[in-house]
Amino acid sequence: MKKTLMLVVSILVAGLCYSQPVQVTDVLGRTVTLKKPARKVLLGEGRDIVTLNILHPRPGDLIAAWTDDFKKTLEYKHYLKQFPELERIPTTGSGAAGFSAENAIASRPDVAVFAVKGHGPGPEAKELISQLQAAGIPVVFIDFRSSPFKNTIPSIRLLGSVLQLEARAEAFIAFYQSRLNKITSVISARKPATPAVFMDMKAGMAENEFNSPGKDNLNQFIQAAGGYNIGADALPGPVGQLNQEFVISRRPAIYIATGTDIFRGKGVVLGADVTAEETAASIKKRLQHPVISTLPAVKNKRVYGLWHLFYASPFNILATECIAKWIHPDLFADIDPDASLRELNEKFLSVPMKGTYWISMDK
Amino acid sequence: MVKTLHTTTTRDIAEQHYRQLRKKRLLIIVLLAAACFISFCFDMVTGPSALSVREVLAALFNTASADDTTRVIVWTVRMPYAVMALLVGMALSLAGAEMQTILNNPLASPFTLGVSAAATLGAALAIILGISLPGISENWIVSFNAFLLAFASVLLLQLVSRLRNAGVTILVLFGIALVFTFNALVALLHYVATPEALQQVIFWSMGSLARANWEKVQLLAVVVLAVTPFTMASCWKMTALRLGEERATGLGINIKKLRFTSLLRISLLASASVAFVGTIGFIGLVGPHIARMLVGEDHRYWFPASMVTGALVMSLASIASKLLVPGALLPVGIVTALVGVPVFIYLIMRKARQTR
Amino acid sequence: MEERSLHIKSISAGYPGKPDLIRELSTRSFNPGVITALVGPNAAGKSTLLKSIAGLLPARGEVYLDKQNILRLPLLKKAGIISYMPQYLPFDVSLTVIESLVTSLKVSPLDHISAHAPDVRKKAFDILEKMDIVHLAMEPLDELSGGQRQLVSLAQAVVRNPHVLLLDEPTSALDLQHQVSVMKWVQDYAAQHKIVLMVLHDINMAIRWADEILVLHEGKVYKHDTPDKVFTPAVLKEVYKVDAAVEYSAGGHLQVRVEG
Repeated sequence: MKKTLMLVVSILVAGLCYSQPVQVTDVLGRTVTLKKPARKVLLGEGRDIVTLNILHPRPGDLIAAWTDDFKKTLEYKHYLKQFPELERIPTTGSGAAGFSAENAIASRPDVAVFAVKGHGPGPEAKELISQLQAAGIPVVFIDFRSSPFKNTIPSIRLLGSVLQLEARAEAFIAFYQSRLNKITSVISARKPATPAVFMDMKAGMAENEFNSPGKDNLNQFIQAAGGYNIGADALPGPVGQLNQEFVISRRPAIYIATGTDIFRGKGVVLGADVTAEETAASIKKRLQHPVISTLPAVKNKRVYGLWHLFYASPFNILATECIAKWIHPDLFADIDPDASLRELNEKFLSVPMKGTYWISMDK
Repeated sequence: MVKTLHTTTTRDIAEQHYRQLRKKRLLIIVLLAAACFISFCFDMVTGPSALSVREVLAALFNTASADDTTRVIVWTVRMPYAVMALLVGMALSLAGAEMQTILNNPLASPFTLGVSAAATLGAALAIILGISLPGISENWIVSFNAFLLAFASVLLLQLVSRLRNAGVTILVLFGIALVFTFNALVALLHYVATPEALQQVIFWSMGSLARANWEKVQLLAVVVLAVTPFTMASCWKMTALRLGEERATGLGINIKKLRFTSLLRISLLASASVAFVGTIGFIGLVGPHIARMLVGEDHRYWFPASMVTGALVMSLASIASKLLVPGALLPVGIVTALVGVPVFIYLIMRKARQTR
Repeated sequence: MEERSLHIKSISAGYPGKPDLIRELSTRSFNPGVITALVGPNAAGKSTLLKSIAGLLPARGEVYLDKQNILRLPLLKKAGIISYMPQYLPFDVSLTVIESLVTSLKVSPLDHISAHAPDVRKKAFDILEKMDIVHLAMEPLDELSGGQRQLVSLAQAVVRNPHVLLLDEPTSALDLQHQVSVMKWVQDYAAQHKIVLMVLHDINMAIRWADEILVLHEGKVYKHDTPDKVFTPAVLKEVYKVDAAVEYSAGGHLQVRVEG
């Protein structure tokens, strides 16, 4: 009798828990209430399927609909191999301008997950947000992009609460936090000199264009890693183009090229399925540019490559580990980004990151 | 001495004024060219690195003595950038002048009939889909595609206007239709593009002198040098066209052929410019306009004056861009507007005052 | 002195996509020294005929200058023989009067005029002087008055000394004084053994200034004769659908007065 009662109570409690409203605060500080925990989400940027993979081994099961940006990447092929059903997830169009509110609503998500900044609908899509809310679909904002180190943990925690996958969310947060703490504590304790870094974003994609982070985004990666981004002096926004002469005149000590697979044949290539040889060859080609070849960083072989899409990814911590190690090899001798990647793949990702996501050419 | 014995007639005065006017126009062109040279020199000594004039001169004339960094800054960065500014200014302004005459519209520019929209489509095809003709090296496919489509669009325009035996209005309407079609196709490509490639297309279409390198400078120089003699050879016919189509035909000009050859020249100049530096608007409108205010529309003077005016405005824009945001690259179209608009407004105001 | 005369044999012309305005039209000869006025109601084909002769409209048929079919001549050749003065000069052109004349001379080679720059300039100033408008030489075209514009336009048309001068409504929109000065000049020009054809709307102008009248009606030549033989009440009734009186003024000039 007592046993039965216990059982009934626990079932009731469990049921109650499940159907209880969830109240969360998103990264914009908006308080959002879901009538019940979400089972299906609408992704404002398809690439956040990777974020969902941190929380769930079958991330596609959590997606009601998504924008098609992720479908244009090589990573998608990896996901598709494991989960052919991803092909059937409804898409809501391409980017913010092509976003179909009707497809979004028709896919009946429990919650919409939008990025504060990015290629999908953002906070400025007020009309869309009110349409979704009118259809009973609350909208929460996550962010790995405008304030990566402030917002990554709250974003993961938010998704954990919304989807009631708190345990995995907290496990990732621990993984992330310990690594970030290590870097920030060393930097703040030792206060090393900050060498000048030229980050050649999307390097070589157009021969004579020198894109660089400005005061935002990847600039924060470099700052966190104890470096000084030369682009921050010239560019007011998150990214921009630098005058080639400016780059030379700043005499950068460290050169980091970023790239993705879409620049294959033109510029620096990194990412899923890319071999280290291909990456190295693509960077070597870029180094032949007469302006780059005169940089002290290149002459002293302080040349590195980084996957471009870390700029908007919860795995930004891996990029920061790399940059820290590159800038201050003596201070961060014990940091091992490769080990971090292995751990990430083993512990969290059912679709592991396989390919070349960074490369060091300082040997 | 003998002349002074006669009383000077109205005709003598008029002849003398006409002589003076021709001299004045030549002088204006020479002064503009001199201004171009001065501006070019300034362009060469401005930049975010604090090189002294002496260092620049040393790197220019005694290259072996300069250190690597200075040499690269002077020869690989500043010089192609500065020369490209002059060349692009000349090419677009001359193309604009021709376009304004053949369309009989002072508001026309080299891009009125869709050349830049076509070039953007070509660039987008290369950037987003990697589509180009075989055998083109990766470094060139964007420029090559842009040129190919721009040039093809003008040929298409010609073909249609010939088939329909169309006049200026139809030509312009068809050109506008092309602009919209190309824009729609580019938007369609945006739809299949990754966000990163998309950003690249947008950057491309904004136009930047920084894309210059010596090979591109040489190619554009060849185009300008090859086209200009033909332009100058047509200057009487083009001036006659300003007297109206009927008068021009009556003077023995085959207007269709004149328009066709002029459009060919325009498309070569505009396509080459847009292929190498992207779309830089305004210069092709304002260069000829300023030149017209300075030397009138006798095309013997107006064409060269348009070239040097365009070169000057571009060169000044290049300097201004370096001073406005040191270190960063502003899309040069913004700067041409910032530099050109005040000059433009000043000249219009001055003209308005004169006619009043 | 050139004595070649012009005659038209069976030409048809009109605007593309529309029925021909003139159909198989033939005329007797237009002779040097004679001013012929083309008159007729609207849409009779006056301007079409003029433009066909000038080569500004595609036309079928033959236009002979002596034994030479000038419709077959290349534009350039034709430009040495015939000159057409359009109804209006275009606006918004930044050229001075003298520049427009120099251009008219320089643009295509002429057998009878040297292309040497000083000669061209002399020729251009000569014509201005002859027309008594040399004071306008340095004026921008856009700043001329209506009457001055017509005189300059006429100067552009005759500066190449064409054997055939075609004028499309040369005096429309001109005040009396300027009408007289333009027409006087045309008379002087014809007197140099030139063929002059002009479209005129105003019948009394035609009577006053033309030696012969060619009445066009529904795309055909209705009559081609001296003014007194052409303008009869019957003709005016049939062609213009008006009742008109034809009388002689006190000075002995023929005059048409429309009644009602």
